[in-house]
Amino acid sequence: MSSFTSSSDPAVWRRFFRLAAGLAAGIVAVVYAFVVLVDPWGMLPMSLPLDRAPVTSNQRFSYPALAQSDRFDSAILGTSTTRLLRPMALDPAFHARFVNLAMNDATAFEMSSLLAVFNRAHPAAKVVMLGVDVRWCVTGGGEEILTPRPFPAWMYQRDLWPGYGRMFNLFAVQEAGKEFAVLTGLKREDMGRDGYTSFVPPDSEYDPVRAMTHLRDARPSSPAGDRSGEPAGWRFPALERLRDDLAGLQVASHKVLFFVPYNHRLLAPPRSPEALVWAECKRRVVALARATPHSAVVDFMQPTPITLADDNYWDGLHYRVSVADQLARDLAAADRGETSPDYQVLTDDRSD
Amino acid sequence: MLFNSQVFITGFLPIVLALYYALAAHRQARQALVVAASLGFYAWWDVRFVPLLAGLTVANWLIAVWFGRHRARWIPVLGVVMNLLVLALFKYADFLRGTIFDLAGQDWQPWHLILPLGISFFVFQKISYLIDLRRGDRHIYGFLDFCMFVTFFPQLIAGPLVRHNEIIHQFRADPRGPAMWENLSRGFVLFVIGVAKKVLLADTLAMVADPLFQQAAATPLSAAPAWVAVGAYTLQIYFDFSGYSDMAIGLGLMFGLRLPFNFDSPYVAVSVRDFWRRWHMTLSRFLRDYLYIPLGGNRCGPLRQAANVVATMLLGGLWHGASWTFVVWGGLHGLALAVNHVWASAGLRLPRPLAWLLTMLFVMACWVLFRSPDFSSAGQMLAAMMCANGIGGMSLDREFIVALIAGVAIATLGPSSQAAALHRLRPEPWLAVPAGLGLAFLLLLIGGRLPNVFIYFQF
Repeated sequence: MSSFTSSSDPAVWRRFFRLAAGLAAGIVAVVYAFVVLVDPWGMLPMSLPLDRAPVTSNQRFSYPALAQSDRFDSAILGTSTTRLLRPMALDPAFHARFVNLAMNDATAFEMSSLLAVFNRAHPAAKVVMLGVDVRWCVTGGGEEILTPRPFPAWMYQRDLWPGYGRMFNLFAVQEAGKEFAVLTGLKREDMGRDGYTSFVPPDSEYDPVRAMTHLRDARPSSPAGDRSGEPAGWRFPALERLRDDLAGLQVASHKVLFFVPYNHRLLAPPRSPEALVWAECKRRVVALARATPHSAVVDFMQPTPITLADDNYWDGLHYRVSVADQLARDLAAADRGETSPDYQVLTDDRSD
Repeated sequence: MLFNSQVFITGFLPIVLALYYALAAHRQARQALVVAASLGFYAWWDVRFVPLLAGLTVANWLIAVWFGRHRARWIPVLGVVMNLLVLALFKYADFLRGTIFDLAGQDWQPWHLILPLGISFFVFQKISYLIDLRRGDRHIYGFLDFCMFVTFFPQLIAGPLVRHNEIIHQFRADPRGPAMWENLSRGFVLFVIGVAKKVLLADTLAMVADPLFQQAAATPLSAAPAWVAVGAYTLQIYFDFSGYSDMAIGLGLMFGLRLPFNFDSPYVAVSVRDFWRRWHMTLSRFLRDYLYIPLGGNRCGPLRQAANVVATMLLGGLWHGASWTFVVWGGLHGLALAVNHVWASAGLRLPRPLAWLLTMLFVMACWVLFRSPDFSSAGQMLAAMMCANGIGGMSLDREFIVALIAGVAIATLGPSSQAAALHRLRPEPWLAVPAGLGLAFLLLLIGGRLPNVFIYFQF
């Protein structure tokens, strides 16, 4: 049984308790109020109308607000293999106002979740583009839903009120501090307000030797998952999700699915098991597109002048900024029905 | 609802505490409030558990009342059997079936019964009361007193294992006595210390220990990571469990109730017997009073005494979990206690530093068994510690190193939590400020740490 040395003056202990408990309560209240008022991700239901900029480098936090923004009528989604496409390069070609919502290492589930947020806010979206890569071609039951990167699920729900319960933590305080600094001019914005942020050095700093150290280790990309039996019988769970995503978009919206330009070292050798998976995945994506009005599939993931030139790449997945701009021009050209050695249009439905 | 959760600290606790003191003048009302809050606290985990807790509480109280009227010595035995059957069903059914079927070489399908949280604690608590009744204790408590004794939320889930005769009499006292503010203050500080142990130390150490133990089960580890894993886990389990106990005792004190201590710097122990006097003390005394002594304790010959202590610790091991690794863990401690007794009886002594080192090495080696999912994984980890796969090396992040050093220093050099909060604490403002700041910071940390920065593109 516990016993303790007692000090007999209750008034002194009362002051002690009030100071300790009051201080804790006061700090909690002030910090919470600060985070909620600044609302670093702009997703709380009663968010103050501040001119927020994206501040969180994990795009899973910073992009839902962009996806909701009425400054855009079109979106491009994908992983880091799509992040370098500049909305400013796409806008004039498609006569649209693009937001780049591609997230580093995003899973198909995360991309679908973000597309759902965009679609809810933009039921009459003009163009929706999706960079298709290995994430969409996993087979069997091996699909990864989330990565080790935190994913704030509440931001992707219709009901955003639970967000008030997610605002008292070190990360939220840190990001609120960054947002506050941006709002007050103490810190410069380091992420684009249209979602575009280059995460590679400028082309002027391109170092082919360093790039080659990464490229040398590149191996053919192989979608994960179980595969038994004939390819036609394989299950592509992410593409099942994509089918639902496309069905959820307005019929009139223009949908462009493009296989991203992996460096040739990542392309599956002909007749290899990996090639079989990619071929089946492309076939399924084309089938999806054919069943979806106003949709096109463009394939950059093949030996082309872009993918065959190592000095177009920083590593097997990530191309240079100039290549990104070329890609934007190619997408626009493909949309106009033009041909190019850079890509192959697998299907294109322009019917009204 | 965990004690170290934001909803508990900023919602449940302040509300219940405020209502408790608002109703303090009315004993029945404040006790009814505590019972209702405790059931709510329990239901927050899983509402399906509540009928079992409530039903078992009522059944045990009825048995006690029945015994009070008839004084038949078999009545408490009936109650003990009932409690043990419930425990056996929910906690050990699959373990026992698996053992039997495996011995018979037959396939079997586990039932996967849901294990009600804290069942090992509240069942033992009731058993101790029933045995005390049979031994002559004449306390037959009122329904509300008994319900509060069993369900009182600070000790409901993981102890300390409180005995009826050390707490129920406290229910009478109006918590607004002269010691109210002192109780609130010391309880508050002890609670904050407990949260800090859990959140700052145990959780940080777990971030290294858990993946390494997982890795060890799959691929051979070299000695360096194996020692890091075992060292981290040794500290993790201490700060996790003693932190929880500190929180529980602190919460009890905030309600004006003194719960028994559970830990007393166990990692300064210089023998295994010393260790068990300092580790999970309320379980140790339960095992001593309700198992070891009834088996004959040390009132018989050395061989029988050794058998008694081994049997007691085997059951103590089984109490920790339905797995043979726990049984063997308990058995090893039982053997060590028996050897310890023979050694001490022979008047042999080791130099204190060597005694401490040997005790710690034994305790750590046993933690490997306690932590591992099976004997094979434990064997691999122990082999790795003995350089079976080379010495190797590993890089550790700064947060872990700080937690490791702080953990070692606190566990071996610092005062126990209760000594710090209940004896040394003085009502000085300069001590209140860090306590308040500390709780606010810990609440932030509980909400979520800063995620690791992913070095995405390394040019």
